[in-house]
Amino acid sequence: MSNVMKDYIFYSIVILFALFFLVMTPQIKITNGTFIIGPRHWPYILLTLMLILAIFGIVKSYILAKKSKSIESKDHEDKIEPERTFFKLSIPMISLVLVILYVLLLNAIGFIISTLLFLYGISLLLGQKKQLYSIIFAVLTTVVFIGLFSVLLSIPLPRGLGIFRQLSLLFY
Amino acid sequence: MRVKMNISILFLGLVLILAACGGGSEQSGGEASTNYPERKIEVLVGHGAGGGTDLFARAVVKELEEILDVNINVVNQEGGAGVIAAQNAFNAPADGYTLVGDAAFPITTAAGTNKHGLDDFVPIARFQSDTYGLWVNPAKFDSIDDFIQAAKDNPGKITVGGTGSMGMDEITVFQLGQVAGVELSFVPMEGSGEMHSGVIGGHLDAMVDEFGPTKALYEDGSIKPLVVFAEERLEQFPDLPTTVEKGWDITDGNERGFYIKKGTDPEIIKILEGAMKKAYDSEEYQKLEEESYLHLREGWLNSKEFTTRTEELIEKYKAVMEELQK
Amino acid sequence: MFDYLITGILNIVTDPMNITMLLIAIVIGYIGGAIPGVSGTMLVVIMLPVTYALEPTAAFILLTGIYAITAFSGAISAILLRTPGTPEAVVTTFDGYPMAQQGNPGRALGIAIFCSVTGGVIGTLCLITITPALANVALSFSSPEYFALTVLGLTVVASLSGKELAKGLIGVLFGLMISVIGMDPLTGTLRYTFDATVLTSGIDLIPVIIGLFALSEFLKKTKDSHVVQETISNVKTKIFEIEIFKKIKGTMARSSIIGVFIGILPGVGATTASMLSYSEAVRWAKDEEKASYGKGNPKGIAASETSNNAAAMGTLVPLLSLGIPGGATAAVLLGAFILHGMQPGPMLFKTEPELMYTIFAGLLLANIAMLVVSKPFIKLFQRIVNVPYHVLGPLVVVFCVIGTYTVRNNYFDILIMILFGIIGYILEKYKFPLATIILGVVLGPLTESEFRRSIQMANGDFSIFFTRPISLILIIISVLMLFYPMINDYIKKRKLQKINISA
Repeated sequence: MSNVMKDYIFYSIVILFALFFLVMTPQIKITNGTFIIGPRHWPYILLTLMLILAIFGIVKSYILAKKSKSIESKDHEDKIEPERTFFKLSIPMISLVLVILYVLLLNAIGFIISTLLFLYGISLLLGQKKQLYSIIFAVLTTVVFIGLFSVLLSIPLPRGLGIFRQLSLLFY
Repeated sequence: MRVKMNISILFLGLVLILAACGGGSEQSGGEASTNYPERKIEVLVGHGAGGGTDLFARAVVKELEEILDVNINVVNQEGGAGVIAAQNAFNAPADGYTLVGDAAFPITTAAGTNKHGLDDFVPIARFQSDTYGLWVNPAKFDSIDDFIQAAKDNPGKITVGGTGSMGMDEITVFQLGQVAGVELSFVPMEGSGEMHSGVIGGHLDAMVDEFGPTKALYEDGSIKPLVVFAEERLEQFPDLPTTVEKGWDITDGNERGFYIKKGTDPEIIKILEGAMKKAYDSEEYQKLEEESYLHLREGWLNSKEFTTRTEELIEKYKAVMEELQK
Repeated sequence: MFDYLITGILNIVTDPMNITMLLIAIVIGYIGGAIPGVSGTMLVVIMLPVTYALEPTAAFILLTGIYAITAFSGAISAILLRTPGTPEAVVTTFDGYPMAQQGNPGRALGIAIFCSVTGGVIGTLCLITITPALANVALSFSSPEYFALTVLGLTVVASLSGKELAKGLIGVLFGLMISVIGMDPLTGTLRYTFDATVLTSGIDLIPVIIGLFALSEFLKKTKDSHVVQETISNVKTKIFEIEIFKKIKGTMARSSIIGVFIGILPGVGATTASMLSYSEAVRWAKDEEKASYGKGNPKGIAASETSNNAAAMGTLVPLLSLGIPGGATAAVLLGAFILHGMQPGPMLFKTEPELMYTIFAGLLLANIAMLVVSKPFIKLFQRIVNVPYHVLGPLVVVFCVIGTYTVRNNYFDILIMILFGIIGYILEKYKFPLATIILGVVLGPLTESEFRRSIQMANGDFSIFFTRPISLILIIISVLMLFYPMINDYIKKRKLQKINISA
């Protein structure tokens, strides 16, 4: 993807963001009329500025792109960057999916089990060769975290629902 | 890859079995409520560490731990004047191990930001009924009459600070304006630090605050109270007029107490209520009340009284808010 | 005064109990602060019940010692993992992490600790010597001045955003917009909460920062995790390097003043102080140096660490001299004083001078001891860089999750953290100046509410910002700063023209 393309996408997203929140702004209830500057003014100012800047950005990159095309359309700066293979690119994606799964599970099955599973899975993904080490690592880390935060510092990490809640209560 | 998958499934299975075992053994023990409390209790506080409600909860919890002989954790869940803590307590099971320590329950319920009112929670006990004063810089006003006169001469120009918005502070200032027939400009401040320096520095004309947090400032003479929001004069301030004397019927303050999710075994509530009464009467707690000027009014209300009181307050604040939000 | 201070120091040194408390404070502060998710406030709250049994002197040495040390130790994980251990260390990630990644974790930690100690000592000395004067300065500040201060801070966006001002401005606006979400602090109205209770408390600073910086970095790193890492073996821990000191001494001096000054203002904390002094460091840098900020410039670390420690000490000024707590931890300390039957304020200096000066001496000693014991700690911590990423990476994620969760014990914050992790990952690939978003988020709540509060105080008179001297001066400086690059360019062009003509 060329840099110009990226700029277009970025500014379009900014415009969408600003428009969405602008549409939402009138729904803010003004509950206290005695206030000279109400709760809507500030977001209006911010969003309008954002919109203007984004439109300005699009126009600017369009003009720049035209200019640079007419001057030097041959060597594209982007090509210098090596193309990544599909598989390598996907590792951050898989990691992200794992992280999201972990966090979603956190609320349902609690900190203990979800952390065990996550640590086990992600350490294998990130290059741990030995299964056993992964398991030891997962168990050890979970124990340390529970001991430190929930037992020592009395911070109740997410417990999960139902039987998982009961399980966590055995430990902290 | 295949092998890895298999082992992970095995691992998952193991963990689940473990979980099931753990769950089973715990549930069988949880039926008899007479053994309450069997394990750690959590008290959710909807305000940050170090604030009035947090200090209150921690002071009580310290006594309760001894009385109930169990660990009790104070968990700060800051946000929305206690709404978040109430929401989380509502999501937890009604097993008696999750309490809420709150000061703004009637207000947030009346305002509608707290979606779980008395239909979802049972008040256990009230510990404190704090007293408001109207504080000024001594250089600015001499007496409450001075203040009211100034407010009459400059309608809407006398600024009165308070912490937070749509809370007890704002309601108090609004009601004061109403009954005294003057127009006051309420300025919601971020925290009491900024508010105190605002009054001492002369940026605010006055503020409403309780007697505990202002003790040091009052003692060295940098601020002084004009009126106390109470029925009777305070022993410690015999010369300070009360609102009732002035003919204004506004005496409410922050009422700090504990709540528990509805559906909790009444037996458990009774145990907690009894323990809390003991904590309230304990020498150490009473000493703390005295040191932070919380003893100006009797604080204790038991579950039944506190429920009636909360009901009244919610109705009352609903009406006030409607007018305030006009 | 100084004989009191000497008595204070002697009180600590000669009493084994007091020395023990100081040592405990150092260990707890160092390790606790370095762990993301354990903030100084939390540690002080946890230790508070322990101090019931202690003599007041020992109790306050412990509590204030922890407070002083955590002002530094959050930098450790900020530098090594890009995950700030405490909120104050947020800005230290900007330059500390890149420097560590370039193979100099020891140097980055060394600079951080040296600057922290300097900032802390200067802050303490200010606390001891000019507290009453500083307290009066704090009193002359109110909403209009706070607002003017944030405006001054926001104008730095031009320097932070490099060549692409439009993007930088969008970043700041985005940051400011994030802080709008939730309950309006002035009217109590809900804004953009979409009827979700979890959103009423708004979006906290910490999840945003941990997401944008730490989680996004994790995602980026997973890509090269299979590549064998080159171990950084010749890490020499040098806490004091004369060449670096020469470079950063100006920044340190400026940042300690900014730090103490911001610290004394109630409601403006060490995080804002370090953000503002970082901004100033960038602003005062030479044009050719500006680009190196955010890429491991030692001055960036110096600016952040000097000022957050100075600010931590500054926060104690209004607490001790007026009884006004300037921040969350100060509020807990106030509670501790009350529990021990004392009321901080001018009276306490008269009734308990020895205790007060022992506390001051304790702060001074804690800061100095921090430097003395730092070497083994740094040696230990810098090894983290050599831990294989399949071990370190997963730990970073769990730290991100716990570090976010513990701020308010709110599950929802973790989801916000993940969201910003994705945003940060994409934006960093796009080479977007992420620091501008942080600038917006840090200053956002202050900017809006202080502006509206000022207008409310002035009964709708917008001239309030120009009729009050301090606010007027700040606004004038901001305007000058905004146009300074243009003026500077113009002057340079003129000079160039002259040279061309003369040549």
